[in-house]
Amino acid sequence: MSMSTVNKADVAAFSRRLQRYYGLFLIGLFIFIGVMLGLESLGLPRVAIGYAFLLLTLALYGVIGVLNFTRKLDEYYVAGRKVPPFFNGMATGADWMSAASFISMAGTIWLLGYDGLAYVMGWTGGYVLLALFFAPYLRKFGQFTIPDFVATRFAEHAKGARIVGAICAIIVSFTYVTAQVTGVGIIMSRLVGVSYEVGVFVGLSGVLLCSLLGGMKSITWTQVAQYLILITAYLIPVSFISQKLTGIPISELMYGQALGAVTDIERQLNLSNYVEPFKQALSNASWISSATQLKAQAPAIFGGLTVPAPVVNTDWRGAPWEFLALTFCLMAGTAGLPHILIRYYTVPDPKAARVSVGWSLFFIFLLYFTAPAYAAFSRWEVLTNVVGKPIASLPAWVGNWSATGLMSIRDANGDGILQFPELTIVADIIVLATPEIAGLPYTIAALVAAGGLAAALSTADGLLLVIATAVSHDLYAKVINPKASYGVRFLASRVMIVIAALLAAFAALPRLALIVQLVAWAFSLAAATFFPVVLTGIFWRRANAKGAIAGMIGGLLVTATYMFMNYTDPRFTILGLSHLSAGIFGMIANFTLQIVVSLATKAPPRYVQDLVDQVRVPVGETVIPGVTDQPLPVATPGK
Amino acid sequence: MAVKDPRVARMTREQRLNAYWRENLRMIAVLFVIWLAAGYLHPPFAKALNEIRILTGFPLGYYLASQLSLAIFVVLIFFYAWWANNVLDPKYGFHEEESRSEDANP
Repeated sequence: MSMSTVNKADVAAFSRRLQRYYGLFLIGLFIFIGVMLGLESLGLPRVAIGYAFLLLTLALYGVIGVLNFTRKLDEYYVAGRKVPPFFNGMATGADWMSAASFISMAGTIWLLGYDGLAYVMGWTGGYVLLALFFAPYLRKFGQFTIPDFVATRFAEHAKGARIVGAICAIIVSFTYVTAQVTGVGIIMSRLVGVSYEVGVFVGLSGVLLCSLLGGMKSITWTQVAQYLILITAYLIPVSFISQKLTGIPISELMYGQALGAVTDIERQLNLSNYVEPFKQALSNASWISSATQLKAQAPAIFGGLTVPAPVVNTDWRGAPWEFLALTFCLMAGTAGLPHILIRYYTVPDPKAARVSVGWSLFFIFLLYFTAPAYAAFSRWEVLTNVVGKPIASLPAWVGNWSATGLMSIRDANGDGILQFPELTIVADIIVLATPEIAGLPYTIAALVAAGGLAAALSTADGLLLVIATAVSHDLYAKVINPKASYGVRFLASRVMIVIAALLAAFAALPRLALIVQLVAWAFSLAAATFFPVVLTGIFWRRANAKGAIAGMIGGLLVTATYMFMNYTDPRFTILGLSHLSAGIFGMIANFTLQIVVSLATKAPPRYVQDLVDQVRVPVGETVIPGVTDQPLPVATPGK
Repeated sequence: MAVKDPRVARMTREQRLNAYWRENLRMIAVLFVIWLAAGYLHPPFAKALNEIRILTGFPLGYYLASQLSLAIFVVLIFFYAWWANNVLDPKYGFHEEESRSEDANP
């Protein structure tokens, strides 16, 4: 599709119409919250409120999915390339912020203190790389997927590059989607009290309803609605707790007071300092519990596994390397995650892509800027009203949440008083329990759960589409059966979404302890595979196909090996780096292999180098047309 | 092609493209260095910086990692988008659709 076919006046009118729709939607959301608050005060039971939020939001996502049913390939894959930058920013925000960001991140900061900020910086800073190095050029490039880019840029071995790219996309996205499905199960069981397993399947049916019919088009417009729900749900409770504890509802500004108070109390109680950096030790605790679970649940396969003795490696405590490396892996991984990269295929042109990255980060920033406030306020609350109090007279929310298993209290020394080490919490509790800590009605707690569900579903939507597209478009339509008709491609993609969703559900059902590591692993893998290849593809003309293929395979293998070694035995480490930041070694391997192999083999042909020039200019024809799958105009030798 | 700079107007398309790309790379390098500093310069000194309290009581090292660096990231992206769309592209005549005849130039 030529970019000149996108009419500026049409885009503006479309944008205004969207503003009106989503403005009305936001008003409707607030009215709904108000009505539920009213009904709750009249005595509506909690479970009814939970179902109201669940059914209404799932129905909404389903309706948007149905309304956006499409038979056009470029609408199915890239939403017709007419998403205004502002709305693409919101959709990217929802695509980006997963169950991990929404439910677990604040709790991770609670547990890790300063060290948890690696996630806050890492999951935002990557957008700068995306803006400077990738977004406008990928948009100029056109087509549908990241393997499309890899195969065209490294055209000498298009098939090999595409297959390796598609496999990397599948591994990265599948790792990530399993964690989302786990989040869906946990939230569903919180919201309406169904079992985790039922929650997984009901939640996934919501994803399928939306993505099956309209692909990227319906995912985009659902994600905008999901963003509005999740950000509303995230910002309301923390403002109330800020109001309660400091008298001013601007939590992002006022949590400084909480940090000061927390540090003072910790000094009095001789606890480790919350804001002190680099306190983490390397341990194999997660591997021990995962190995135990695997052995118990699948003795036929894992019966021979020996559960190792606990190992804690404190040699590198106090050194900044792990923090810096993890931050870098998360940033580079952000810029290399296929489900985020393809969002910039959906805007009208490269100029819009530049602006859209800004909006994306702005909308993400709103949540990440606030997450440390959740952590600080609840830590302050726990240190003043829970720790040091008689166990018999703790606040009511402590009892309620102990019952869920997300926190536990064990009076180790039997003095009837709760000491800090006697309290154990699971990261997810911080955001989920804040409405109750702030003394808010249950409606707000249900809103928070609905927000978490929106975050998990929106990310799962995007990831499942990437997996399905990698199989149906990149592997099937481009390699196995290039003559496949549109009808067959659609069918293949839809069948793959269902298969991928089912596989993710089955991978999530055992609830292995290593699930929480999966998200960070996905980033390391993306940082070691796609990030270096897309970067050299745009910025280094001399990079060739052999180099790119060697780089991706090498990066993947080095990362996976280091991950496995350190995860199972934390005594194995370089500079104290953990399995979470294994991607940094893979990235180095990838760049090295690309440079060495590219220079040792022939330069890419002239027409590929011309293509690189063409990608660098923000105007003119899109490099690969999107609507048809005609032979590529530039990828023919002899031009 | 409405190019104001007479030096650019005299260039062939290939020269224009090269000059455009060089200037783009220079800006990317500058912003990349700022990005590096915002994300990686302060954490090694976080412990010492935390001795300083700012605003409502934030330890400075914690504040840099949780708020200021994030704000810098947002500003960097919007600045680059503004600069590329409104300064760089018009300077080299890449701000509006090129006609086909020009595209076909060697």
